[in-house]
Amino acid sequence: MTQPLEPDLEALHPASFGWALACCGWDREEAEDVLQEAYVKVLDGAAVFDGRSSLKTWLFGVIRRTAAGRRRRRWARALALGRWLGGQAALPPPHDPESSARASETRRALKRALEALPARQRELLHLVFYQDLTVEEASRVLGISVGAARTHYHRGKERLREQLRGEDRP
Amino acid sequence: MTGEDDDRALREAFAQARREDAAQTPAFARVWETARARRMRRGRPVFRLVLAGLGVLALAAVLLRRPPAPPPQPPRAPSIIDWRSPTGFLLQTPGREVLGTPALGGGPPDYSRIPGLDGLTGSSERRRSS
Repeated sequence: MTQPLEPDLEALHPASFGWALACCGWDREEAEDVLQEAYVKVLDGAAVFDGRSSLKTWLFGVIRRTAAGRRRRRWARALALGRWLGGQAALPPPHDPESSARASETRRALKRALEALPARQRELLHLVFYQDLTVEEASRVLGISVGAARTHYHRGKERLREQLRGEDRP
Repeated sequence: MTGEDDDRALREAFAQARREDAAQTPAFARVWETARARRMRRGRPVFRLVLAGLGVLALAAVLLRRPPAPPPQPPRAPSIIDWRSPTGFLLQTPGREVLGTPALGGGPPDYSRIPGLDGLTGSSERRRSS
């Protein structure tokens, strides 16, 4: 039943959108589509909250899988179109240039530093620092063991600091 | 810079990113209502059940249909064992019954029973030469 979840989903909406942005390479339009598709899954009953984790952890897992599914379909369409046309596949731009233009320099620097990290480290740092989840909760969102999550977290943090120090240098 | 200072700096950077993203977040009501409209456009569950039921019926009709009648067999060619020679009557020679009848135990065959062969018997009547 989705009606009782609606107020909770509304309360989580800003955080959900932030996570969708991180999953979509900060493409605002794509993030909104992903979030909308995640809500459709909740309404359809394709994604059911069973209470085994927090609502936030569960919803973030749905958003992450939805974004990954859309990315795969987009790649498959681009590859198929490229083969049919007999040339290079035209892939969509990875991020929204309008959002980039509005962002502050700090935001842009952080985004560039995060993009240099492997996907798993990037996701973990976002979940811990941006979404204020614990490493254990982040591991449940990503579907990995807590030990692996801690390894990715510490390595990712070191690399992010190096990237930001490189950004600070003239 | 200590590890804690680094963490604090990272948290502040992410917090600023969060504030900026929050300003661009679409309204929940709009996203939620669009999701509901999209779900309605996909079709109600009852309609999907009816379609699934029709599909099952069509499949059952295909699987349970009567097998087609076998094609008509071409006329059977005559077999060699049914063949009869047109000149076989010529082999109906007199005395062929003798060849076909086994001898009945004991003594010599009784030729007196066979017309034309009674002169071959050991009877007292002898053919007198002229």
